[in-house]
This record gives sequence, C-alpha cells and structure tokens, in this order.
Amino acid sequence: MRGYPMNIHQKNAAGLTSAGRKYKPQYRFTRWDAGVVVLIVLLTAGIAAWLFQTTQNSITEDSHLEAVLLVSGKEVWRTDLSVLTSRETYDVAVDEGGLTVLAEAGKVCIETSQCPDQICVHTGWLISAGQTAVCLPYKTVLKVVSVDGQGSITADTSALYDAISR
Amino acid sequence: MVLLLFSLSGCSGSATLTDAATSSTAAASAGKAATADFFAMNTYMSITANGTEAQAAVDAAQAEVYRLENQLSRTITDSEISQINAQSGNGPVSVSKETFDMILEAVSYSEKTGGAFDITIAPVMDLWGFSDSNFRVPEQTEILAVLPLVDSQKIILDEAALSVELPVEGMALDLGGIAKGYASDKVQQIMSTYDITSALISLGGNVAVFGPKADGGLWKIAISDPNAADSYIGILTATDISVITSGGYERNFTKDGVTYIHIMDPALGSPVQSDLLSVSIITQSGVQGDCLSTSLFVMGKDKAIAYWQEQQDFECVLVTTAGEVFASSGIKDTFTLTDEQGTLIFF
Repeated sequence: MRGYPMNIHQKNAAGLTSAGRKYKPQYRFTRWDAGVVVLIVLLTAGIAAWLFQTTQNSITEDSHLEAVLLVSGKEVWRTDLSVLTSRETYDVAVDEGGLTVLAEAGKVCIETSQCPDQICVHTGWLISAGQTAVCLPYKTVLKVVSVDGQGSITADTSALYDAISR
Repeated sequence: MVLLLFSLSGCSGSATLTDAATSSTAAASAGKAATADFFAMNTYMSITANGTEAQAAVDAAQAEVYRLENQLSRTITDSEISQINAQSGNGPVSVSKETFDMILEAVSYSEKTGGAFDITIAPVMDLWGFSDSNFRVPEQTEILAVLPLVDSQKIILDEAALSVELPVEGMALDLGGIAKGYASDKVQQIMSTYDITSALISLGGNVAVFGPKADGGLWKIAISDPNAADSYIGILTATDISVITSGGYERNFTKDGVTYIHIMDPALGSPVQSDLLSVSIITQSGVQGDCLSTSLFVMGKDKAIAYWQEQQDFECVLVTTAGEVFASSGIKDTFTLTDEQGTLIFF
C-alpha cells in the first residue's frame, strides 16, 4: 500500500509488516503496566478491607445478651435475654441440694439456693455482659455474655465493666 | 485480578480473607477469644485471652493454677504446705525453690507490715471454723492457747537446704493470703509466651489485665461495693495492672446478731475489727496486691494511709465503715466513683 510510511511494527490488512514479515505483536511489560497492576492490587485490598469492616460492624450491631449457667465447668443452660417476654426458671440439682435460676427480659439471677452461704443469691440481678453470680459450694456459675449474630461471644462496649475486683 | 475482585464482593460474615487484606486478617486473629471458667483454690476463676493462640494460652494458664493448688493447698494431703504442717515440731521439710521463695516473701511482708500479714494464722482460722465451715465463736482461753503458734518470725528457713521448719508443734501455714496473687503473676508470665494480644484474669476476684481490649481501649475494672453484692463503688480504667480486694463481706458468719469475718487479726487471734469495709490494692505485682490487701485491712484506715505514704510503690482504694471512699493520689485520673454524690477523698 502506498501512503504514509509504515512503522516496522505496523501491519497492513493482510497482517504483514512493511518488511513483509507476518506481524507478531510483541508485548513488553512497561512501568505503566506495573503501575496498573499495583493499582488493581491496592483497589482489591481496599475493597476487601471495607467488606470485612462492614461485616464486623453488622456482627456488633446484631449482638445481644445471653445468660449462661455452668456447673463444674460444663454449660447446662443458656437463654437469650433479649427475647424473653415472660419469666423463665431453670432448676439445677447438685449433690444433695440445688438452686433455681430466674430469667426475665434483660436480666437473670440465682433466685434460690440450698447452699449454706447464699452468696450467689445475694449477688442479685445480672444485667450486663461480664457479670457473674457464683455458687462455690455447688461449683456453679451464672454469667451474662454478649453474643454476636453468629453465636460467638463478642465484646460488649456498653458493658458496665469488664471485671469486678471483690 | 478482576475475577478476584468479584469473588471477594460475594463474601460476607467470613473472617477468612486473602493475603491481600493483611490488616483484616490481623484484626480477625486479634479478635479471637478464649475463656477458661473453673474452680480452684476454693474459689471461682475465669481467664480470658485474645489472639491467635488464645485457647492454648488459657489452657496453659488453667493447668498452671491447678499445679500451684496441688503444691500449696493445705487441704490437699500431699501438697508441700501440708507436709510442712504435718511435720510441725518435728524438724525441717525439704521443699521446692518455688515454695521456699514464696514463704520467704510472705515472711518479708509480715516484717514490712508489722505482723499484719501472717501466714502462720492457720490455727486461729481452724479455731473459728473458717477452714471447714464449721463456724463457732471460741472462748478467749482457747484463743490465748493458740496465739503463741501465730508468729511468722518463728519459721525457720534454710536457703542452702531449701527447707522450711515450723519449730513448735501445732504451728501451721495457710497461704490463702498470697497464693492467688502468686498464681496470677505466674499465669501472666505463662500467657505472655503465647501469641495473644490481651488477657483478663480473675482468680476469685483478684483481677489482672494486660494488653489493650479487643476494641483497642483500656479495661474497666470495677471495685465491688462492700455494702451491696450486686453493686460496685467505682471503676478503674487501666491495663497492665492487678486489682486485688480484701473485705469481710463475702466470707463470714453471724451468731447471736454479731457478724464474724474471715480476715483474722494475727495479734488478737480473732476477726479484724477495723474502720474499713474493704481495701483494694492496684499494682503490677499480684503477690504485693494479695499480701497488702489483707495487711492494710488489718491495719485500719489511718495506718493503711501511713503505710502507703511510706512505701508509695502501689495505689489503693479504701472503703470505710462510715461510707467514705479514700484513694491514693496516683489513681486520681483513672478512678471514678459510681455515686457522683458520694465522698471520694484522695490522699
């Protein structure tokens, strides 16, 4: 073809260069290409981080309080305090005695116990994550935990305290 | 890369991400928590750790507490302390360096506190029934008969032989005033060897925290209200600290209208009668916190304040029978009273 001179890398309609050779595109990885790759990696990482953060936020927003009862380290009873609409009780027989747990909307306590010192009963209502009522003679612990939407214990930033020194 | 982008946009609720999101993976690992709830040393214990090796850390901590209980409890027949007590009046008993050092430190605190802290108090505790919960009010003659057995300075310690001797028959050691503090320090040492970011340790109400909380903030440690079991008098905001409280409100018995608490005055052989309802020690040493919480309670408010002014290597909160709260000035910016109308006096 006549016309403007062809670059050795340009090809005509037949796929031939001006030198008559079959045109084979040659790719050379340039700095611009590297920059595009880095940009894509950063963009991907940023979106992934945003997705993760959004997920975490939704987990925290879905958290609720649950009461958990442990006897000799084993969980024997659990209830979601956020959905209770009426009184719920649970009786535990331990050795030759026992105790009764009472749960109402948003709170739980050891209502009665046959233990000699009654410390667990005197502890009163538990209303915040991290609070516990302990019955040493019966090796029983009643505690309130904050649980996320997936059933895992999560930190409750609104908890009254993280631990109590007594 | 485009395919990776679209695949990630479908993920939700999963903490398993690609290496590209390294900060998110680190956050997920840092957020892992594990807790051990168990009974040991005659009390309830809860140990929580956050981090990649949280479960391994709390498992190791629990094992350590059990190990120490087997070594130090005087209610376990073959513990080192039981062996010492069984041999009272019959010569020295070889012990581990760990037990020897702990007894040595306890004796040191006895000297420093003018005898307010005394691990030879066991015969008095037995007399009042606090060892087996068969509570009774002994006659004064009975008290006078056991008082000569209460004196830490009589313990014979041979460092070269690593032996402990109670020279008078009937003498007995009870490490209840130092064991949990020591256990807390040991647990923290062990847990720090694991890949964890923070931990919260509560050994029978002896609280220790290290590292930032999962949300990056400081821990809120409440101090129990001695007048109300379900309440607290204030909050300390801190980390890398132990808060240990002594008071008579949990272990006591009442007879003929009089309440007798479990904290004994070593000089009198009877429950402490002071103007304090509780003493909380804030310190980095669990042993110091445990020993001093008992000691300052025995001393009473004025002597406790004088002791702090002399030492000043710890902080403290004192709750008096008059309903006042005194606190050392080092926690002025980190301790907040729950009752805004209450009286908080810094010294």
